[in-house]
Amino acid sequence: MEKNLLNELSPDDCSRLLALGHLHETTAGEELTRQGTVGYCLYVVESGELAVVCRVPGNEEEILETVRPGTLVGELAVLDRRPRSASLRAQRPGVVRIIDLRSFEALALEGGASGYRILRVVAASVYVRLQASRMAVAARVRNAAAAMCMARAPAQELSWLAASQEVARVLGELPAFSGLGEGEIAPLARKMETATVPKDTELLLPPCPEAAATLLIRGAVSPCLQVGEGLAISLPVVAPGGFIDYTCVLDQSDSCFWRTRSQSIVARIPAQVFGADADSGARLLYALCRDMANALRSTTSLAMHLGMTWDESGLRASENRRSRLPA
Amino acid sequence: MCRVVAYLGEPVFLDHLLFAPDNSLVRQTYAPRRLRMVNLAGFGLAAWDPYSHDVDTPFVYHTDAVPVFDTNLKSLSQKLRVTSVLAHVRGVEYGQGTPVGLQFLHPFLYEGMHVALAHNGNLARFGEMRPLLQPRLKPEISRLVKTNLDSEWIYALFLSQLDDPSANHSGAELADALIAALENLAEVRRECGIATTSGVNLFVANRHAIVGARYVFDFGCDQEGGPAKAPHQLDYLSLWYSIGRQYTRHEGEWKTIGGRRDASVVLLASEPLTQDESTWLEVPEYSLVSFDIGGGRPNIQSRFISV
Repeated sequence: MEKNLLNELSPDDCSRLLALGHLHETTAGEELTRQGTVGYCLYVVESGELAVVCRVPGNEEEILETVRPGTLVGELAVLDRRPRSASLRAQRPGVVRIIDLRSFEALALEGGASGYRILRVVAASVYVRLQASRMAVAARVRNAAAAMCMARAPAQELSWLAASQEVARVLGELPAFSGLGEGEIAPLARKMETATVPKDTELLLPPCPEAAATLLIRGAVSPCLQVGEGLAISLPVVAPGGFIDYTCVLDQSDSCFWRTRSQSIVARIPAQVFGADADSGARLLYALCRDMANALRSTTSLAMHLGMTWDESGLRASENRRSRLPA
Repeated sequence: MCRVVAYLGEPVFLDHLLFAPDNSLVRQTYAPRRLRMVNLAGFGLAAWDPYSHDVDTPFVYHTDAVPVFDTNLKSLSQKLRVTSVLAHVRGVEYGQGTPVGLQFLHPFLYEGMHVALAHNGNLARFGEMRPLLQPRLKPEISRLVKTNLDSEWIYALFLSQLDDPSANHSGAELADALIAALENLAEVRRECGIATTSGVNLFVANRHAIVGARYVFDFGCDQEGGPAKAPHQLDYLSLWYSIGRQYTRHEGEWKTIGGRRDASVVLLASEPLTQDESTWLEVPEYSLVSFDIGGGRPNIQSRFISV
């Protein structure tokens, strides 16, 4: 369910955001954006309704949702710089405000406290959608695909050590940190602690009161959802440079647990470095937004794959193979 | 890294896979969209034509030339209509002494066998693994191995998992053998102490089925203990599929049309064949998809891999 963005912002912040865009009157049936094209704009619905329409393989169309006034849409392709995952079509005459990427980025990254608050609302909106997408995957797996599940793994409490100087060099090489200057990375690394975790281990992460985010430095980690007794579905993998736990930063709760797919090194970053007052706060929050947008896209793709490949015959096949599930 | 396309279903001109789409396999030799390197180390295909002599045996074409300049391939592809295809363009790391030549070209298909295999990725420190893999090959398969290339050994290991390697197999049987081959590779890597990123996206095909596995051993790890540094190693190797009633030129683009319920064609590829990716879906990481023609229509199965 989309959050009403305008309700989440103060009147002043709302005005600053809307001032970036220009108004466009839509006609019924008008296609504002087409799935598969590159996105350079975000849209705020001011009146009328927009259908988020997704074509699935075979060229069939599915209306994912209908968005109403106050909703921000189209931000995913802007955040992760990949083709639009759905088309936007006006259901009836109305008005949308179109905000271009550069204006939005300038406000989010250099717009001071107001820009930061707007970015934070956008981040929370992406997170809510990511959680909804994860739930969609879990629902589809519960219905059918035991063959797509794995057994739960042993959990391990992490032993944190102060980050070595090497971590600063590694951060500089990771694409997620390309927006930070050299002068910002070294102080950030000094605030971090790292832990090494063996392959196929579930992470016991610090509880939220410790207020830290966790970043993957090396290896691979998947978010997982429990879908049955002792069974879990693995969600799209996080690569080095990706965030694996950030609920403290966004004041949200999490529904998944995390499991290493390779021997991994994770780093704990104090949540305050993402704050409005921190030197790199806006840029780190923006990096997190982009990471979540990427995760949302791949999680949605997984849900579509499960819908495509698991029908009644798939269910029978999975039941036949249940005894051969990997341990 | 390499690029691969597999097709199963209604008869299709090879040209409609290899040359015609705006991101065709041949175009991917010099301008892949999802890979930061070109693939100039050769081209190969195995294709099954239901009207040819000995229908279970595909015709095979290998060339170490760059296929975009291969007028013979272009000419043949405009005449041949096939129902199952596995095609591959080979890319190798530059300047590392990687062997290049006809004998190293995918897909691999030994004489008397009816199933071919192509590989996207590479096995780190494969030279150390080879002696431990040798005893895991069936003797009659081991005798057929011609090179020291990791991909050919994966093919031999895969065939060795089949009770009768020369028989015709269902998609489920091929999938089982592919997973068993990955389990063998995982065991040997453990014995050798290898924990370096190694991509093993595997494609197998026969006249009735195509199977694709998307798997990377120790993703995100390099030898020195830092993250995988090369930009392409930070991306999990990609694998996509598209399914529909028909594969055709529609609204200016090559794509599948019609829903899954009426599906009669399926494509499996390392990246979508068209700029518009809306008719393609990604195979999840650490999983496998198999497509069978049973009763004339492809049947899809998807399985999680943990080895």
